[in-house]
This record gives sequence, structure tokens and C-alpha cells, in this order.
Amino acid sequence: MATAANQLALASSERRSDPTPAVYGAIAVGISVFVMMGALMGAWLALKSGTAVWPPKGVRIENYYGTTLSVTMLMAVVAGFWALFGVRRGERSHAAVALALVIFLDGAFINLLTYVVRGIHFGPATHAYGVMYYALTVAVIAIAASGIVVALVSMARVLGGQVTPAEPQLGWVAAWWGTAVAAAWFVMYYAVYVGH
Amino acid sequence: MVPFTSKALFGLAVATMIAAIAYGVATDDGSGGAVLGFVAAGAFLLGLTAALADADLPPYVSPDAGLVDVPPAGARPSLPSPWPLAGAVALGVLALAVATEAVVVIAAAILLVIVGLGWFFQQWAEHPSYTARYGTRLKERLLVPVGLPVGVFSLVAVIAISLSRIFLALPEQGTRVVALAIAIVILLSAFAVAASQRMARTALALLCAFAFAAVVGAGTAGLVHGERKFEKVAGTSPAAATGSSTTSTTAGP
Repeated sequence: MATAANQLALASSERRSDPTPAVYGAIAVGISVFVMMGALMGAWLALKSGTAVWPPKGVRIENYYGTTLSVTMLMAVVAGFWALFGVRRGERSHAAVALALVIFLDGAFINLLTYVVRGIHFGPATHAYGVMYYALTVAVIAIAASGIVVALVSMARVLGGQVTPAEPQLGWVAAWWGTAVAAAWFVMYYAVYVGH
Repeated sequence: MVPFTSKALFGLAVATMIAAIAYGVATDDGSGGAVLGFVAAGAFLLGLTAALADADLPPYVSPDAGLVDVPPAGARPSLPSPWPLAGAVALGVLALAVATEAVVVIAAAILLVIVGLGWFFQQWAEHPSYTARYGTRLKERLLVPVGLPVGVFSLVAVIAISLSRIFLALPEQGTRVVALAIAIVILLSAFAVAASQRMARTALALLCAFAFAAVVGAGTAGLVHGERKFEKVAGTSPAAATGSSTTSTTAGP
């Protein structure tokens, strides 16, 4: 954040706007995404309570995939905060590698999730379980894709020298947004793999 | 000191949590309680964020900055940007894609990528560290060698695919008329642009954008309508019957 020492170090005629809205705005949007996933969870529970057999016969949930997806998402969160660590200490290469890792892990997460969807042998129109399963999956994939976009933008600006210890806000945004993506996944994980 | 926003959000979180518990106990229904619980958690986290956030700061301006660099009091400097509007159009195309074909999804994705890149580069160029020299280097080493060929190829591909969808959707005679009309319009427009000595760049850009939007829109309509029926003519191979308009018979739309 801006300090008097940083401000004195600025070049003549240079100006800088308040960086906090970007960081706290990203956190606020992340919280809203979490609440949206909560609404989907509520719909899941409502349909579950009104359906005799849940999950329907023939639906097999593999815990192996859920655990692997969760571990992947946790690694992405750690990598996001590693990137922030690098940004705050002026370690550009650390930050860039960590953000590349976030992109790779989020991509791997989407890849595995779509692989799981291809192998479940039911569609969104098959039964009520299918409707909610696909709604949660599509939401989580969209949120994870947004995580890739945020990490890509952050990495490009880190490499371009626009995210520095004096202006670390995009590093904070990438780290917190990665956390929001993971929170969204864990809502789905609880609904599908833990609570069934 | 805890700001009023946080106090209000904490109050909302407590009230919603009580409502969630009361709802769960009274109805024995987990869904309503879960939704209210998530709202309570969201309100608490937002309140915490507001409590921990720094106070809003005005844009910093060095003391010896010229008057032109000093933003008006109470306002944040910002430059006009067409990208939010373009983003809305791209999202509209994506919404249209849901009701049509996978090809439209790809078109929407391409549009979103273009908008994202444009928005990104504008944001990049507004950063204080960006200089004209840096911008020229970026343009000469990245944008022109990579962006120009890719952009031209994409533009030609989009126009060609859109026109092919139009021609495949129209009846055989209609295809000839429309192809002729498009050729005449392009010829006359190019003649008008070449003959005009004082044509504003904005007018030219608007003309091109309108023509492009019209072609892509008509192509999308053709895609949604589907191809006309090609009937097999006796004595010709299936490939010849479907690939040549001279051996096909139009069933009509």
C-alpha cells in the first residue's frame, strides 16, 4: 500500500491512484461467487430432499477424482500466494513461475473435471441429480476459467514490470481470486463427494 | 475503529444466521438453511473485508506536477474505453450461441479473446511506466509480426465462413443474386472511398464495422436457418451432386 517513502520515490509529474479498490473489489466479487455457489448448494439440497433415491441408481461417484481435484485446487491456491510472495519481495521470476503454475493447475483441474463429466453416462436432462450436477460443474468450470484469465493477466503484467513491490495489487488480486475459485470448488466437492 | 459498513454487515450476518437456524429447526429443511447460512457467511466476510480495508485514498500527484496531471477533486482519472461495450456485445453473442450452434460459441469465444486483449493493452498503456518508446518496441516486435497475420487471417476466415453460410442457406437463384449484389456493393463502396478526398477515419471505420457486423449477422442467420436441400441427380456421384450448384435442385427454404 502507499506510504510516504514510496510517494517520495516517484518520478516527477508521476501520479498513482489508490490501489485498494482492485484488491477489495476482487475479494468482494469472490465472496459473491461463494454465495452464488451456496445458492446452488441450496437447490441441490432441495432437490435431494424431494427425491426418493439420491444419487439415482446407476450413478457412481468416484472419490478418487474428487480428492485429486481438491488437491489440485489446493496446490493452485498455494501457488497463487507464492506468486504474491514473489511480487512483494520484488522476485519477478518467482512470481512469474508461480503464476504460470496457477494457470497450469487450473487448466489441469478443468481438464480432469471435464474428463469426469465425459465418463458419468448421464446428461442434465436425465434426472434431477443430473440437472444439479451439471449446474455445479458448469459454474465451477467457468469460475476456474476466470482464475486462469486473472493469472494470465497478472503474469503478463509481472513480466512487463507493472506489478512491483510498490504496486503489488494485481498479485493480491490473483492470490485472493485463486482462493475464491478453490472455495467455489469445495462447495461442489462437499455437495457431490461428501454429502452426496 | 470498526466502520459503519462492517457493523451493518456483521448485524446482517448475525440476523441471517439466526434466521437460518430458526428456519432449519421449524421446517426440518436443509436447503433454505444452507442458502441463508451462505448469505450469513458472505455478509460476515464482506464485513471483515470492509473492516480491514484501508480508507479510500485520492490519487497521488507529485507536488511539482503540472496542472494537466492533477485530476479534479473527488474524481478518479480515467480514459474513455470502447472495450466494456465490446465486451457486452461479445457476451450477447455468447448468450445467442447457447440457443444456436457450436460454431457461434467459437465466434463468441474469439470475440471475447479480442475484447480481452484490447482491454488488457489499453490498461497496460495507461500505466505510468508505459512510454511511447516502449509502446513502439512492443508494437514492432510483438503486435505487428504476430497480431497482423493472425488478425488478417481471422478476418478473412470470418468473412468467408459468413458468406458461405449465407450462400448455402439461400435458394440457388437467390445465391446468384446475392453474390452479384455483394460484389456490386463492395465495388461501389471501394470506388466511393477511393474517390473521396476528405473521408473521415471515423466514418470509414464505422462503414467497415457496419459491413462486418452485417456480414457476420447474416452469416449467423444463415447458420441458424441451415443449408438448403441438395437433391442427388441420377448419373452423378454424391460428391458432385452435393458440391456443385449446377447439378442440384432446390427444394426451397
